[in-house]
Amino acid sequence: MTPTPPADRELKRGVLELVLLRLLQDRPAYGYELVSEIARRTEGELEIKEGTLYPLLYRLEEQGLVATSWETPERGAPRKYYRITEVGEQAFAERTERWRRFRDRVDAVLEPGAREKKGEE
Amino acid sequence: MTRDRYLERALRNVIGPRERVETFATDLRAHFEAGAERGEGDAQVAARLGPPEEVAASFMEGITLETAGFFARLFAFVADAGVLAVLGLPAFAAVALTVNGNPDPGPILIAAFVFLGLAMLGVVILYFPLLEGRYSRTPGKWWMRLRVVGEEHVRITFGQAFLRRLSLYFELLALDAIFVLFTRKKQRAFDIVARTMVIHEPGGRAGAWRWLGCFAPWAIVAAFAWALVYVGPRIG
Repeated sequence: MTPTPPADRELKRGVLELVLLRLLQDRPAYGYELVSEIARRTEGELEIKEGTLYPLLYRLEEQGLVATSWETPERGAPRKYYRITEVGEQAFAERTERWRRFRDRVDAVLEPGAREKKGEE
Repeated sequence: MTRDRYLERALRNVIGPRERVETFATDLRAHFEAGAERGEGDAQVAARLGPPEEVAASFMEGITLETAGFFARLFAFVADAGVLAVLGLPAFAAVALTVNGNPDPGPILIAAFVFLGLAMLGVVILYFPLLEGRYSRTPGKWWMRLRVVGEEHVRITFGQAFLRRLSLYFELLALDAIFVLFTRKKQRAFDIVARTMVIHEPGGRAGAWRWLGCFAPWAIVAAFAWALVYVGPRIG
């Protein structure tokens, strides 16, 4: 197995954080639920090793973007629910904006004919 | 892989404030639990969690470890040397008592010399590498709240623990240690060879009394020597 290059990992982590914040906007969720949701909503495109989700969530928690609380369901073991905070909502808006700009610019570069356009200027 | 085995493998590669490590363990356990509630076996959940070593590495990315400097390590070494000296006292006393008043001490001294040599070798091979390989620290490091880790911030192997002690064997101790002052990760030359480094244990530095305490074993040695030289002859 080849390890993921650091640059790819950074990019993926950034995207994952954004996706996590988005999912938590809908409703609070626990870890297992979040990975299932990511797999479902990205149709398996954003593949993650599930164990690496938690360190990511800790990072968000440290930044104050998400908060946690333990809840015990009627049946089954206690679960730690993550919910988005006020700061998290703001960060989400900013990061989404940044992501869209980034995506558009990269797309523009990748677009066939991008070089010609530059030549016209 | 069972969940217990998985957690053991993931956590043995993790260093960090106890609270955070426990949180991580609880979360991973809950993940297995959530899977079980959906009828998934431990092996299935473990496969999706990813290799435990990789999961541990992702946890470690969020932990900042502080490399330990020359003096903290020197004091830990002084303490370890003191512990070894104290451990050697009974043998020393035994030799002293046998030689004392013996008309032909030659063979005993030779035997003692050979024994001392073997003991030194034992220290090089056993004390440091076994303790550091097994517990990532020696008593001196434990006292100074230090720990040996791999450059990737994971637990070191016995091989690494042995390798980083070879300077002791070749008597390059001082030269080797000077590297700590100039290298970026504050590594000894043989730390670089073994790909190891020494860090401050997360969650608090050693206070002044701990620094002082490094001399405690030497106080025992001094008391012993005093007893041998001054008190001994008077009773004898």
